[in-house]
Amino acid sequence: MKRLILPVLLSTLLVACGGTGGTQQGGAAVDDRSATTGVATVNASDVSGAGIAALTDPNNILSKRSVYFDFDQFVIRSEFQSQLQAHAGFLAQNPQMRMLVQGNADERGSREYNLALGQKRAEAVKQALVLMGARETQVESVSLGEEKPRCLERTESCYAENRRGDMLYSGEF
Amino acid sequence: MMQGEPSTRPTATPATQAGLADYQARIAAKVRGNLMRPPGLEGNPEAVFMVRQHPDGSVVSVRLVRSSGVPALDDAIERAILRSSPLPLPAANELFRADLELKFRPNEQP
Amino acid sequence: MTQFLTSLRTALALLLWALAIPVHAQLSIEITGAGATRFPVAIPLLEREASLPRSITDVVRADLERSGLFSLVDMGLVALPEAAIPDLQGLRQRGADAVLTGSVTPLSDGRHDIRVRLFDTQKGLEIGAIAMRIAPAQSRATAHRIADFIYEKLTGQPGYFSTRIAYVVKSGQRYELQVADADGENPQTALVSREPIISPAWAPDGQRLAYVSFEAKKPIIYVHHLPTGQRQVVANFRGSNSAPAWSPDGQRLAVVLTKDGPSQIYLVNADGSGVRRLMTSSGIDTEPAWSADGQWIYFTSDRGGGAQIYRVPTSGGTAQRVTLEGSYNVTPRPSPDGRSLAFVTRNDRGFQLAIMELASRQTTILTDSVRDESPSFAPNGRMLLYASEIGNRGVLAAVSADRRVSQRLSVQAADVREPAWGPLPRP
Repeated sequence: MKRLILPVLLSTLLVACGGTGGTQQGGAAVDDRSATTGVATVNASDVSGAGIAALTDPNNILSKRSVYFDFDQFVIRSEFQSQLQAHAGFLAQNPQMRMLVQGNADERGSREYNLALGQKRAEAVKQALVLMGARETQVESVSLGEEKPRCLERTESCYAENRRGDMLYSGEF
Repeated sequence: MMQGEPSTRPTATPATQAGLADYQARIAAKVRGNLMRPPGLEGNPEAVFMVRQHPDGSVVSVRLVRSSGVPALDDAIERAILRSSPLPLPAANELFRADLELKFRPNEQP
Repeated sequence: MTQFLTSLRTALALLLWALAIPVHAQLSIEITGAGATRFPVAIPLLEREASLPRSITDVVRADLERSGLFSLVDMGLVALPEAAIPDLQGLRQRGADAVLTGSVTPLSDGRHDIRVRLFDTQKGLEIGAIAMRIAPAQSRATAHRIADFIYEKLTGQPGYFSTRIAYVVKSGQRYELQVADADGENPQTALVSREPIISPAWAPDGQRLAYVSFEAKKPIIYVHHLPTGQRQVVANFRGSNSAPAWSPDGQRLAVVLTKDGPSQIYLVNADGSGVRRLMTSSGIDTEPAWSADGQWIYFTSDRGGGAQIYRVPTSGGTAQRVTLEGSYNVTPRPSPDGRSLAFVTRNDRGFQLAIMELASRQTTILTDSVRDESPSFAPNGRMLLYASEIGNRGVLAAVSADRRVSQRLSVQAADVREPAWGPLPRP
């Protein structure tokens, strides 16, 4: 949670410094923060069990970070059980690690309603991880709704790819 | 043309009634065509205007007798009446009336 | 025979006088409906208008035309000075029911004195006048003000040409929150981000925008003060923070938080303090919107299975279902007069804007396109701004609440979404 606050503080500082962009009365001041995305780092020496390298090793199940959902569904399909088990184990062994689960929805329908659907998916992933041994405080479930589609075509397979929960570890968000 | 004896009953003959109805309908159509309903007009407001016209149908005066309660509608109706001058004339001169009472219910289907 | 007919006619006329239409010779006529759809108005050039860097009357004409309520009587290059009474009968014969006259006078301090008068050619009356002193750069704003003046005088409703709109432009991986005039002109960027920005909502003061930004890799609600560019985090709780909606008095926001589980509606002060949960449900509650009287919060919920619109008293209590038909009704937007509700419905054609008369629950589909979303009412309730799509590209469009007028907004951008119509400017 602490790590999430960093970018917010950054942006607040930026606004305080960049507030001179105001134009004439009623005009909107410009606050350009496109160049800044606060990225927190994690010290690899703190990590035990499967090393942090495992998280990005394509041969390790921990590199698999996505859980896919059926249309209008929030139930974790059985094919993702072992993957979630591995992540739950990693979190249990590394209590200092934090995870952000980002839920996603396909683009059809209202953006805010899709944000709520994505949240339900992220929460389903989080609950599964907690059931399998992760600490509740280690995992934060959030939603990106339909805003960050991985696939941009308007096909059923594309929509399916966007109905997804992604697991990000400290340093990756 | 009219056939037979004039009716002795205290009503106009069917032919006269038809002529009158036609006269009323033509005035109504012209004024309706010039009336623009104010945007967002709700309910079923009714306004009554008295109109005096010259024998050639040109409008002499427009008087609001009963307001619709919506000033923008009263204004729009008055403009529509003025814009409709000269008003249509009846098929037969004797059907002409210098004084007209116009009742408006713009939110009702014609 | 002729003589007989004449006397017959006379007798009949007498009969009618005496019996059929007693007392007065007046004829009573009922006129239901209304056939005219546009108010014919003449907006000639202002005297010495060329002394301004940009035309004012071009903008006035465009505003009136776009509203769908006026037709313009062409006056060519004629200018009618404000000081003179125009030839109202001549204008009436040219088909104009109203005419604007006016003059521009350059002042020694660089400003311009602008005076306009509006005449009703049918009644032969002046119906109003305004005068102002402006800097040349204020030409557009002045034109919108004159168009509002004409609109209000001729329709009895306040105009909306001086309002502003907010929307989000996406170009590549760059998101910009922009604010423009209601006609889409004069865009200014309020925020640039590499992450999405959604759900901008205008505070009633027209100075602040609440929105959801993903710049911290999760949705967080900010309130952005436009004149200074200062912004404040209003809700950054664990989980997602989204769907801000201002109370009519601008003191509070309804927001959607997931800090306690599923997406639920909370009320929060505009500075982020005093968070309290509005109600508790097991499913999704989102997209809160306040009724204009502040008594109700309309929202979308899946508590009954699919997504439907409900409402709940602002003080809490039992929610009532509002949309009864269809399998997906979302994004409720109560009209400013409280009589109707705009929303997005999914039907066999796609996602379309609909409007429901709340008393009768009679629902009308407002749009013909199939990917419409994010409706917002103009302050006078006559028009709705919404996001649509043409060729995979987001565009902004507007439709009148009575469905008669529809138009596209000319925002020059790659991909535009999430429009929000701002309030009337404070006098």
